[in-house]
Amino acid sequence: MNGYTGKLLFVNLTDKTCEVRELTEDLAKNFVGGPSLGARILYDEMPPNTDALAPESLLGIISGPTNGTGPLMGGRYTVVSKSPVTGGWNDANSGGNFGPILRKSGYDAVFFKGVSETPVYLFIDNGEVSFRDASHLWGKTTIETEIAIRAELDDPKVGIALIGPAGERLSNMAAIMNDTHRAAGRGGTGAVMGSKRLKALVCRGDIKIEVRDKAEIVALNKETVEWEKGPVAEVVKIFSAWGTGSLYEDSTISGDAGIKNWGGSAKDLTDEQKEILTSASMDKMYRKKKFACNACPVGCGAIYEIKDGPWKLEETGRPEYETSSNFGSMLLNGDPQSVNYCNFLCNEYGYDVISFGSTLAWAMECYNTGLFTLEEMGGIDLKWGDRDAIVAMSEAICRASTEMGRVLGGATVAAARHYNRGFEFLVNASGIEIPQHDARRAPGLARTYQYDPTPGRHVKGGLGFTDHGAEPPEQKYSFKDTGRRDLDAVIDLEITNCAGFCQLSDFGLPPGIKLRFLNALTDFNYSEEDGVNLGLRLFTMRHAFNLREGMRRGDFKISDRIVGKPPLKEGPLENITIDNEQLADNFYTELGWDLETALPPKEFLEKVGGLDFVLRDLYGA
Amino acid sequence: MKVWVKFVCKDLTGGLANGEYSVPDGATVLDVIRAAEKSCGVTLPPDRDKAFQYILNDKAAQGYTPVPDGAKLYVLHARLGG
Ligand code: SF4
Repeated sequence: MNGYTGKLLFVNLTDKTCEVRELTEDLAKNFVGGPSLGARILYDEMPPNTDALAPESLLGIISGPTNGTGPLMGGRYTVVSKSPVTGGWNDANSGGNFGPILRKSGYDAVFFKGVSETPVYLFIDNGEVSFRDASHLWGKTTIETEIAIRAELDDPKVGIALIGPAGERLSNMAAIMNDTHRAAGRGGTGAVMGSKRLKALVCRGDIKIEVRDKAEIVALNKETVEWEKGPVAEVVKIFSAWGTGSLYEDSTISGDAGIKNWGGSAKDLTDEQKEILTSASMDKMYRKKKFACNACPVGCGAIYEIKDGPWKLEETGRPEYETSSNFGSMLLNGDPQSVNYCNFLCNEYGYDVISFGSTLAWAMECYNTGLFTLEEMGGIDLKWGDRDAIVAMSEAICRASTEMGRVLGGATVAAARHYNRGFEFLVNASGIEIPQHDARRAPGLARTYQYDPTPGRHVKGGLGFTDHGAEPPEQKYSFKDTGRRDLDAVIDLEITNCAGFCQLSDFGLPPGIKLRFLNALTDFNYSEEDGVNLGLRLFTMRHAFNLREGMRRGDFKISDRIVGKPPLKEGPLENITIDNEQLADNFYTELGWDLETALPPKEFLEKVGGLDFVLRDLYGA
Repeated sequence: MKVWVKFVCKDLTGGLANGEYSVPDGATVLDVIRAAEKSCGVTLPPDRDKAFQYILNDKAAQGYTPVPDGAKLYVLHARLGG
């Protein structure tokens, strides 16, 4: 089948058996790859209401058809599972080189179930699968593990997706890492992997994936290059030069970034603090070289070297915007060295920087309002903006070296429950901490954060943080007529994520080209109308997993603070309250779904097609 | 009247300098940008302001928003993200 290896690998870690199954044309055509292909498989393979960390729980590591087949910006793979954090569907994607290497090793996706008796890693070498002992790697950091595996296999280029100590400890904020500093970070992916005693998936191979029309892919890539020189040239230039962190200062001034655990405003930071953490400023001090994911002409990454100061680092990934904001403005911290060091710690121990920084912010607010004593903090005087205390607490979490460090390692909700305190300072969507784009500035995000089947994500479709946030207040705060635009954005991003494109393709690729890439890769010949139904199906598939778990609209929650209840008293977001339920009503009305339950009606499922099993389960048809 | 401006989106403003600019009473945010262009000898491409968003005295503003004397204006990228 063009565009795919056509093979799915199912691994049972309990009895160390593997089964190769065909990726059928129907599955590929209807669910493409990435998150929704994963949801389709887990829907069948995982019994309803399985605990995310139980042996029967499945973990999928899934490519998209663009991985390793040539389309520019098409290098992202996805990790899927049930989330131990939200209790519902979870997917998280990552760039670097791992996705393409996974495919070249012979499989479109690998699904793990069961639990190994002792730590293992799985090695796929040109289609051949072997279980390798990882006892000696258990407890090691991601960097130590990568070095050890590469030495063991005598191959510096193998692709490795792995967990650090965070995953081994089953932390709710454990990520799956690859390429040293790339993370499929959110929703507890690393905890699911850790629960299976699976330290790493290691891949190598040079298996060629056939595509329908190679010349067309070359032509589409040329079109992309021209596009990037044209209308979006300035945006490309910014991201190419400084990456996502280029806009940190803008975000802190405009109200986009979280400040002081979402309770502060731009006034809480000095102009210098806002400017110093932009990547343009940090690049001048630390930049060593550029970094780009596979087949990406934007290349928004960089590698830093921190030569001086208390936390020297030989090589570390440049902090993404999310990192700078979570360890910067969220904590009222304007110190670049500590931000870089905390970023390094998270990558090394395998933590999601978003949940980690948010957890520090929650602990800081609790401590600074007197909810925790200095003794409970393990002697760390975690005052707002204190860089030494921020680093000390980050180390305590990563090394699980104090009681507070161990508890905070479970992220905010688990920590609030453990101490039975600080519930009023939790800011999350269905339990997962919110990324650094404020829904009070870009209200459409409230719908995405609360009601996307994978809650609390800025990389899911909807009226996001880009142009929507800069709309005039009378428009964006009317909460009217958002449904169509919201749904169009969802349809587009579903295809982006499932195909394996980077989200920055929203500017990096010409409009409408993604479906044309899919048609050049595969034999599916999607029409424009097919494309709309495809996007709807991909979205509905993730949603269907949650429905099967018994989740309905009322089960998706968002914290009051992030929707301005009560509103902030100063700054650009002063007196703003978001009507998140109206936004969701608009969205579900556009979909034609039931407003109370978020159930898609029979007619919708029939029209979209390819979801007979959902029809059967919901309506017995 | 005087308005203090910081061009945070430097890559889009062709060398417009941060600092204080004089504008007549009743001037808008866009008038301030024009004053900066004149003072710095820079001509921004037409429609460039579509790539901007503004924070004026700590509140979101539009190109048409009147600017009070002594105001502090930040000119930011309209497109955020990452
Ligand atoms: S834009 Fe950045 S994150 Fe996206 S594929 Fe390119 S290098 Fe990777």
